[in-house]
Amino acid sequence: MRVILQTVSDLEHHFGTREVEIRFEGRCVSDLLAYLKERYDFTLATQERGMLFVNGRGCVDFSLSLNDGDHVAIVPVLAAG
Amino acid sequence: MKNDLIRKLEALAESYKAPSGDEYRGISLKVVEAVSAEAGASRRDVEIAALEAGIIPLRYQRNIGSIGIEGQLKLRKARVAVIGAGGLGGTLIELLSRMGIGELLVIDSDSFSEDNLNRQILCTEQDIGRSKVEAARRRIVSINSAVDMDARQVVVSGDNVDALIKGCDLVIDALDTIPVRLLVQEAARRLRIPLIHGAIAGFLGEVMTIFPGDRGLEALFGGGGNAPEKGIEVQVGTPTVTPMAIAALQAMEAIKVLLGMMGPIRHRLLYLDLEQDVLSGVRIANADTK
Repeated sequence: MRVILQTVSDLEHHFGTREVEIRFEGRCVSDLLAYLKERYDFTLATQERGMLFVNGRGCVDFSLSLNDGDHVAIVPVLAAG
Repeated sequence: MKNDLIRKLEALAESYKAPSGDEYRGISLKVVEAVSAEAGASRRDVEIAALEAGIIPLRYQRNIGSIGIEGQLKLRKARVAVIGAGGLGGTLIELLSRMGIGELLVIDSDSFSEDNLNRQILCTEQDIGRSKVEAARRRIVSINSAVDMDARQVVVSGDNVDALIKGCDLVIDALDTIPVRLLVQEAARRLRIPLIHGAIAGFLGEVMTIFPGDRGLEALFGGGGNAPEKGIEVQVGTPTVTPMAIAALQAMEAIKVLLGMMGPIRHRLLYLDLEQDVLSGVRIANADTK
């Protein structure tokens, strides 16, 4: 599976780039997250720390299937005003 | 009434030279005050009459090159709600008053505390313990007495949000919790009012303009049931510079929406990282609008 991963801010530093093509074995978001844990030691620990989008839609169900070329974005949650 | 006002203003307008060298007819603050008192009209109505007659109140002269007299007139006629009068809201109120928004509805239930002093522009040492909306009222009057201000010291909830924002041309989110933001977005959608979202944490901020029918914050958090209350600000705080920068972007979005300008930050969440000097956008799918 090949997806485009986009990140911002401190997450960008974590991955070393703002946008990177990720190739991994698997079909769904949880497989991608397992790969990110193994390859980058990244854990989407809680929703407070990061939100995940697939093709512009917020994703909380990590069993969601991915397709080749999908855009996955991981961004921090900001709430102060 | 309006014709009388215009006749008075025509008689009192003077010729001024703009920085470009072009001449224009303008009226000073003193003229606005005098005509308002004499005619029994609000200062806002006096300024509207002047702009309709092509006479520029001097306080807006440096806006005109960018938005024109027609644009200034639209802003003078607009009613905008700012929900939250803290870090983002305080700066928004300052900017929108100076820009010449006609009426500001400011909603905040809170009073100032000492830890607001680092970033909330309405908060001074003398204001600790005082109401935020009352500080907003004092600031607006001191900046632009031709802005009508409606201050509401209430907690925004599902029971009152529709009644609060009904009749506004635009709502600006300067809140500090995500569930209330989702409530406001739902109400703005029901009432067909555009919403400018902003939020901050650390040296990071985000902005998104949400038109009625856009998924907006729902794309981020779903319908509300699973949305977190807070974000990473609980770890990284809210330093001085971030609300100023993000409020400026929100104010610009407000101007774009009110004047129908091109290029609002729509269907994408714009992130500004002040520490890393990075601006980046995350696309928000808009296909399944409501």
